[in-house]
Amino acid sequence: MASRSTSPGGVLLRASRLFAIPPTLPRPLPNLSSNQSFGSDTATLPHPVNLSITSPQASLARGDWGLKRPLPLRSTTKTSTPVIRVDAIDTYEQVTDYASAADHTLTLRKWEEMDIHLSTPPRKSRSSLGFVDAGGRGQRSVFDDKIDSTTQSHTGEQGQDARWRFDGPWVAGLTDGQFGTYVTRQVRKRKPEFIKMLRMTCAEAATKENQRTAMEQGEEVGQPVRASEITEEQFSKYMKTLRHDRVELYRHIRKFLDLPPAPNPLLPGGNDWLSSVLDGTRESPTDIKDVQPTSDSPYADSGPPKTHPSAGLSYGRTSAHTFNHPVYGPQSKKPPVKARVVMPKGAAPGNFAPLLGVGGFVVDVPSGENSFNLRSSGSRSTGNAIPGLVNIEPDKVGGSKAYVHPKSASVDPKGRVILKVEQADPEAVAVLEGRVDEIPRQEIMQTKGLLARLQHTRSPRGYGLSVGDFGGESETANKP
Amino acid sequence: MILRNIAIRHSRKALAEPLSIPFIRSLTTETLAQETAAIENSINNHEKETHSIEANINQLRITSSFVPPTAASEPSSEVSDNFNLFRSIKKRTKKLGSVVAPYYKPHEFVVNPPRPKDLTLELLLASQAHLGHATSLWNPSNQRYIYGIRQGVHIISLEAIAAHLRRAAKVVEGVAYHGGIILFVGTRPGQAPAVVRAAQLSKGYHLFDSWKPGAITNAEQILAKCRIKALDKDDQEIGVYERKLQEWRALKPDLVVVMNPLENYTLLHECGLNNIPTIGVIDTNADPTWVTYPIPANDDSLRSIQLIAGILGRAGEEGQRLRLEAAKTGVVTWQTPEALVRLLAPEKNKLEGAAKNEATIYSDGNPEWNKNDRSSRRRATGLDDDSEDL
Repeated sequence: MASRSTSPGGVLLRASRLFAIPPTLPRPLPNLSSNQSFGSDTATLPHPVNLSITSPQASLARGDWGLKRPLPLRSTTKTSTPVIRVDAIDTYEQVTDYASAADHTLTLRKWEEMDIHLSTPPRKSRSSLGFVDAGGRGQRSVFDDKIDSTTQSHTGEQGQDARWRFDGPWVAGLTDGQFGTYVTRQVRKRKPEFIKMLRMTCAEAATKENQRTAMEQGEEVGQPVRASEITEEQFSKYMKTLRHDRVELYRHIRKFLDLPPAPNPLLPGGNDWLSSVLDGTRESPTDIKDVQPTSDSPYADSGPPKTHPSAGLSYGRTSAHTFNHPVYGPQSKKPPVKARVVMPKGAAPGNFAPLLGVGGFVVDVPSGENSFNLRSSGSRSTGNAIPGLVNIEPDKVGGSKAYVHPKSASVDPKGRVILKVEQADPEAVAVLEGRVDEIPRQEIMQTKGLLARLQHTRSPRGYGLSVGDFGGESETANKP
Repeated sequence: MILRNIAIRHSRKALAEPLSIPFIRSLTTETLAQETAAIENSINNHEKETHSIEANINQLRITSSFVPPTAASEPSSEVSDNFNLFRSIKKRTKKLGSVVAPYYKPHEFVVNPPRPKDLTLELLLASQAHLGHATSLWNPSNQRYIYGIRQGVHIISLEAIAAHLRRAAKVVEGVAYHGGIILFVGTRPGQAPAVVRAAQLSKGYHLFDSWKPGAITNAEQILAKCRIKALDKDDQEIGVYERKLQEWRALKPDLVVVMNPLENYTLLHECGLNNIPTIGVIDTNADPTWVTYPIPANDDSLRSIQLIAGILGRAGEEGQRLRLEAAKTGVVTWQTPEALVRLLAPEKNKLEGAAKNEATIYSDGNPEWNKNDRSSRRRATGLDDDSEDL
């Protein structure tokens, strides 16, 4: 056996590309909700479960994919996306089970074109007060050194949460049955181990107590108490105190089972409560400590992610770089992305909000934006709202479209990509579509303060610019 | 200046490019016809303008004495000049640029297959020779070749493949050296080029459509109309035995190499009945006892089959080369069967009288002419299978 593990063939096999194909992930489960959900076998999964494989041109023409047998040429060469996923290299029927992987491959390509970095999941909006979000705990890059870790740091209690992988489950996300199974199957048999650990902590506590009394009385500090020296009486007393101190007990349990941080508490009553406190009409019923976040982890509210929180979609820490237009120079906004109106308002039973499709991802319409504000458009007959959002436009070829700017993206614990978009800048749209003549210059002067200041000293040039002098000599032609 | 004069003298219309609008289109489409007319008008206008300028210029002295060169007066060496320029540029820029590193060329496996000495574990791995079938399809007698299970399929040990392939290559080389008839069989779609190339290299025979059952056991009937030819030690045909060989039995192969034994069980069975050694590519679902020399490898991948057939073909080529080299020094590496010697004795005696020198060529001291015959039989169809007598 020893010779087998070191055989040269074995070494080669382990380093081979075929062996590097990861095993198939479990298919993501559909949403557990009372909504009517229509399952489809051919629908694109929320995240890929197989590796996408491609083959060089010369081998592709011969059907050679490095697999057990050559694949049929008809289905692999007569396509613009010769990318496959392999479900089984060989089956009982002596065929290679494969399918096209164009869906996720193209989605990734579109994502790279949109150029969005992955950030931590957004915080639940709790209050408009600054103190809740004081510690700079907004959306951060998932590659931030402080949170991109799988190992326990030794910096202290707070440092423990600065990782995204834990051994134990996220208790807040478990159903009642799952929690019961976890307790009976995995926690129960570790009871002796936990008792042993409690004895250690009891000895530590006793040592601390001894040290404290010695310091107070000015005596010499004695030997530390060992776990074996703890008597049963001492231990049962310690256990009783722990049962009353739930915070301390939870701390020990969390450390022992390596549980992810619990979600942060929500303010009671939401904004009504806050306003009443601010007005002074009501005394704060709860201690301010209770509504302070319990954990620093960005994944406390949503649960720890299953894979690395970037999901391999983007490896950039930020996408805050300037788009340099070949004609108009650096732009304040990147080129907008065309979004498809997947579902207009109130089209599906039980779902009233319209949905957009951006680069292969279904996103909610941005809130608080003019063009997407359906409430105001209802009162005003024309409004700024995109017509396809309210009603289906049957005469539009290819469906209704709208330009948006991708804002941020994160991956939820189920592996779904949550993309946030904002309304497209009309100037950026005009630059993209080559309609810069239609931009009203006066408006630009007013909105762009810097540009307005510059117009006295030098002629403003370019579009979407904060600082001029990048545009061409088209000033006279574009002036209204 | 001179060129400008030519343009003026021969008017702009003569130098203008021919109209790119096809004639029929200009006839059929009304709008196009109008356009053509417009262009024609503008050209006429230009011509008129040119004439007016021409009149002015013709008054100059230099233009009045100028004679435009004609095509006949100057020998046109444009083509050869261009060609020489092209060659000189090519020669100068030949050493410029980057050198493309060796890269994988799939066709090389068939056109220029690797030799047995080039066989490496990496090559076998790259050719997918190690991939067996799904574990549920396995034949337990292949257990000794199997390295393990991965992704639901059995993985054949690369060392086992290399060792068995080298042994098979030695067998092919030995049979070729001793003048045996080698038959390469690969009847799956896509295997034909590899099998034909292997037969070409080893001067053997190939079969890529289907084996006719009984072509060995019932060869008298099935191969009755096939021709047998006699060769001397240098592979030159000897014509005098034609009539005698017509009476001779159908030949049988000395070695059969099968790329897909599962589909050719009949052939292997017939070989077994006639004590013909066989080499076969045994995947994890095949029975290794069907063939004499198994090569445990993937028989589904064309690349793996091309590699195995290529290496065996190269081994046969080497055997043939050694045999012909030995023949040049007078060493004959095979023996003609006794029965054939007896059959051909009368012709031999006749021939001996005619050409005495023939017998003295062979330095092995054996003046028997018949021993230097190599007989083979070729069917008229694409299927070529031959054998020597037992």
